[in-house]
Amino acid sequence: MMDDHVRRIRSRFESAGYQIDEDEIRRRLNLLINEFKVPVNEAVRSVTNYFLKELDLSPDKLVAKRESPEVKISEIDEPGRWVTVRVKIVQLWESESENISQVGLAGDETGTIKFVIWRKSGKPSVEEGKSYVFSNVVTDSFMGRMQININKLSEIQEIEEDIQVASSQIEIVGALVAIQSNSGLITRCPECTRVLSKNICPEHGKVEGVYDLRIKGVVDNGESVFEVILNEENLKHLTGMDVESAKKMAEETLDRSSVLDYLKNLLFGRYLKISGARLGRYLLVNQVDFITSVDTEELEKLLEVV
Amino acid sequence: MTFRREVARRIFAREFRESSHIIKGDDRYSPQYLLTPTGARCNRIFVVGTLLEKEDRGDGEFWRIRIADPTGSFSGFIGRYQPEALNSLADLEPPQYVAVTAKISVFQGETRTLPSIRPEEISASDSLSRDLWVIETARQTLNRILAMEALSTEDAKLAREIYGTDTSIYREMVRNALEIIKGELEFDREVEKDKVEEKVEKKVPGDEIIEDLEKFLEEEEFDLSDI
Repeated sequence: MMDDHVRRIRSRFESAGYQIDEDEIRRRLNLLINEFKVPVNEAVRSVTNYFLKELDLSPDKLVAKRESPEVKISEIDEPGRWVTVRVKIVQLWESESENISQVGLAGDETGTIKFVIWRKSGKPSVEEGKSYVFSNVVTDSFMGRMQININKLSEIQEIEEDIQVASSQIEIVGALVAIQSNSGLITRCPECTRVLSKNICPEHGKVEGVYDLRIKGVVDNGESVFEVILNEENLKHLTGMDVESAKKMAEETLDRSSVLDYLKNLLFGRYLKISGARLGRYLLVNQVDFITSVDTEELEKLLEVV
Repeated sequence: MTFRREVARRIFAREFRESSHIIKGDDRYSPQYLLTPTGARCNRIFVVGTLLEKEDRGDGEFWRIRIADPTGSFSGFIGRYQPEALNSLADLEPPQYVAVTAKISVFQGETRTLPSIRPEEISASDSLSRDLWVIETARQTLNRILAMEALSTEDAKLAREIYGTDTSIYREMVRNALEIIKGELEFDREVEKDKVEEKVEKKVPGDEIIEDLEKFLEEEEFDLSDI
């Protein structure tokens, strides 16, 4: 393992046109990792910085000259690697931090991975459903799952190609046990589709919001929980309500929250059958239906066993 | 540490009422669980049942509620720390079917402990959802009973040690709950069948068209006279 890191550091400098001594790298890494018990990625960073300083190089020089290898998402299995991926944006999530410009899920034909575009990177926004090449992004591990970080040195380029995304389709039956308050008739930023509060987008300031209808909630079958987002199409299928009728309701009642109350009444605690792709905590809804009748066969079977 | 939402367990009221053992975490921030006699470890539950009572215990800011299922009833309290539920409760009048997601709380009295529920959300429901809930809860309770009889999970072993659970009592409870649902479904089917038979007796093919036509002519007549 140590040799891998030694080689990686050496080759990073080599591709930037600088030769450094492998033994020296090994000696320094060894000291930090085995003597001081510094985490491996920290040690690698520290040693790299040491040589940068020795050679009087700026860090971006080292990276800029270097083409990070193109990999498939399924091959991303360790943090701290610079890679290039060709992905489709599967879903954008709400950013939990001021420092993050966009966060969501990207996928290719081998799998999906969380991506984070840091605000400091100054990159333009990406859109759901479009495909991109993310070059020079850094792999990272957060709460035990791999992710990719888009930083100042990364590049995002939209491509025509429609990347096919692999996913593990599952079907579940469960009750909608929670509906979050940021559900119902909402407004989104016309630039980046972020959900607005008081018509202010954290990135684009005061904007004219675009109406949308959704339910963010939790489906629970007594054994597992799944966070779901029901979009306008799903909600229209279940309740007949769409953005237009929701807007009408909000106008008539002079209260946007009446839409959420109405939807809650129809949906909260109801049993749903959902098929979709499971991604960590999330279940990306493909098809959703109400359970409309009791399974009498199951009832009989249970009576036999009990 | 990854934040994990607690699963809402499915427990019948009778088993819930007979639960008293609390499992506390390592520090005061870790979640508390109620261990039930069949070995369910619950922090949150989901129930579809009949709202039997709602009683104002404090100027509309604190309510005591009771929700029944086929085996007994859940006692619960809704106060201003459950704003969603407090808001929804205003529109509910017993008796009516409700769906509830609730946290569990336990009153420690001098002689015994009383488990109760703190609804996070409560909303009107229907008989279909109630039937689905009973069957789902029966299935999951039965699975716990089977695990207990085989002593195949840690929680089953622990629950048996604490409660000395006699699983035959809970099998009986599950069977009764299922029989009630089965009885109601059969009753509904009878009613449906009667309706269909009535229709068949009254109508033969073609009647409908004639009826429609008659109605049409009647209306036509009426329209004409009106002019």
